[in-house]
Amino acid sequence: MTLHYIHLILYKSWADLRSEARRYYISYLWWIIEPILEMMVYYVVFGVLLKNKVPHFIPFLLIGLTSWKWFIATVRHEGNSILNSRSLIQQVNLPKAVFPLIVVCTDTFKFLIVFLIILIFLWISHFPVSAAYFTLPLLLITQLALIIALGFFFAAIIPFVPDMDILVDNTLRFVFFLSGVFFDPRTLSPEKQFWFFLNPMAFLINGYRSILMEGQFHDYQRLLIILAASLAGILIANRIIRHFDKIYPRVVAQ
Amino acid sequence: MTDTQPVLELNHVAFHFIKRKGYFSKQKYWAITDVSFVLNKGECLGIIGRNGAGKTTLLQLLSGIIRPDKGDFVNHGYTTTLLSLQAGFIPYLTGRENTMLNGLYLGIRKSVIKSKLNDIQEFSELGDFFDQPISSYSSGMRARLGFSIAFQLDPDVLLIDEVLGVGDESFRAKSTHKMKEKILSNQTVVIVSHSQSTLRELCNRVVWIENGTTRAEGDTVSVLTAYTSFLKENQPIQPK
Repeated sequence: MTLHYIHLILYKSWADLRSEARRYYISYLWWIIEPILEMMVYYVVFGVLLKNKVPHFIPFLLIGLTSWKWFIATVRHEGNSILNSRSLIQQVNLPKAVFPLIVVCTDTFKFLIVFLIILIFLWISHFPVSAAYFTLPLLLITQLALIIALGFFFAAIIPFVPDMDILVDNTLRFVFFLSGVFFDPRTLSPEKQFWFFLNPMAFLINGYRSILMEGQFHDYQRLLIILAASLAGILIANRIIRHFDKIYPRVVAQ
Repeated sequence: MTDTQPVLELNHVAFHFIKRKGYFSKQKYWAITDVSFVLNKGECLGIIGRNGAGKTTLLQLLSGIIRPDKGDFVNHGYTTTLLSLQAGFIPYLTGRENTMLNGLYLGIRKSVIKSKLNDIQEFSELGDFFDQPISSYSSGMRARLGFSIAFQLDPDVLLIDEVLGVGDESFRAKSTHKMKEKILSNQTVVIVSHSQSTLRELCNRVVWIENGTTRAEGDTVSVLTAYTSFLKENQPIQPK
């Protein structure tokens, strides 16, 4: 990936964000208001109506939802990114990994805004900064790598089988309920926990909560395994995308 | 014109698309079945043929967007760019922002586009509209902007699909003139066109493609003469 393509990815991400903001009256404010509205819906349903017993349910829910939303939105956008660029890839000769990387940039930027707001919210709600915060960047980078890896795989396959998009959507929704966004997985039996935390998103969400709410993080081994597996996944998926580089323009032309 | 340094070569190239039929069955559709020619440095090669002959697919092959299924395509290390006007334009962005984006897509370096922004604004005759979202442009204005960016392209080989000039009468005259100037300078060009007068004016050689196959190749006048008489003999049957 040469400097030229990095310029292209960054400029296109910036352009997409700008173009999205120009479409609405309150433009940039939507990036804050929309996630808050969504969180309120979940809070009313799971916190008020279903009377969730988790202590400090609001920060607990906010952290889980935000991290999940970053994951799901980016992976799905990545999955469709090559297919959605069909007219462009028939006119210009570009490495196709450019397209998923553009949505990774825009979605991650939006996530970081919300994440910052949540941090501020936590600080005012008496969850102070602790030494565990040093692990936070590692956790974020691991999730970013996981997002890129999974999204690359879907981006590589979906142009051939657009139906995959529907399957991916439903599978990920299932994973959503198995990621411990609404309940604390540490209340499960140890045996169930073992299986539960094989889901990397469940592990990461639990990790964010440990750091931000309890000021601790222990399982570095598993974190590094997820990071290494994700990096390997990116390399493999990128190879696949490069392998089909000249095939995509033909496939999406159908 | 005795310069015969080969730039691009096609040897018995074939290419197919895939058409989906029903749930799992697919059918191959051969857009190009057997095309061969050599493009030499500094020349302008014309490609002529009826609609659906495979001309556009041929340009995609030459630009490296797709690879042939049979035969060989050899690029002797040159950059090729398909002249794609308005590729990837985003309506909510200004002319200036779209210029940056479109230029990056076409492979122009960021610093080069930045240095040419004023030239592009001037050439496109957009004035203050250059800093307005292009959703407020007329289609003619968009075409002018697209052309003005693409005109800054400087690849080793320029691939042109029909369009030489765009816009209203005066801009079309200006842009066509400029593009012809560019082609007639030492630029290596492949141009697909239905206009025989354009090909006569610009091209040293012409390749005639019929049903995905090279029907004839040679100097412009003789190929075009053969093509014209072929068209007369094979006129579509007129409805009574």
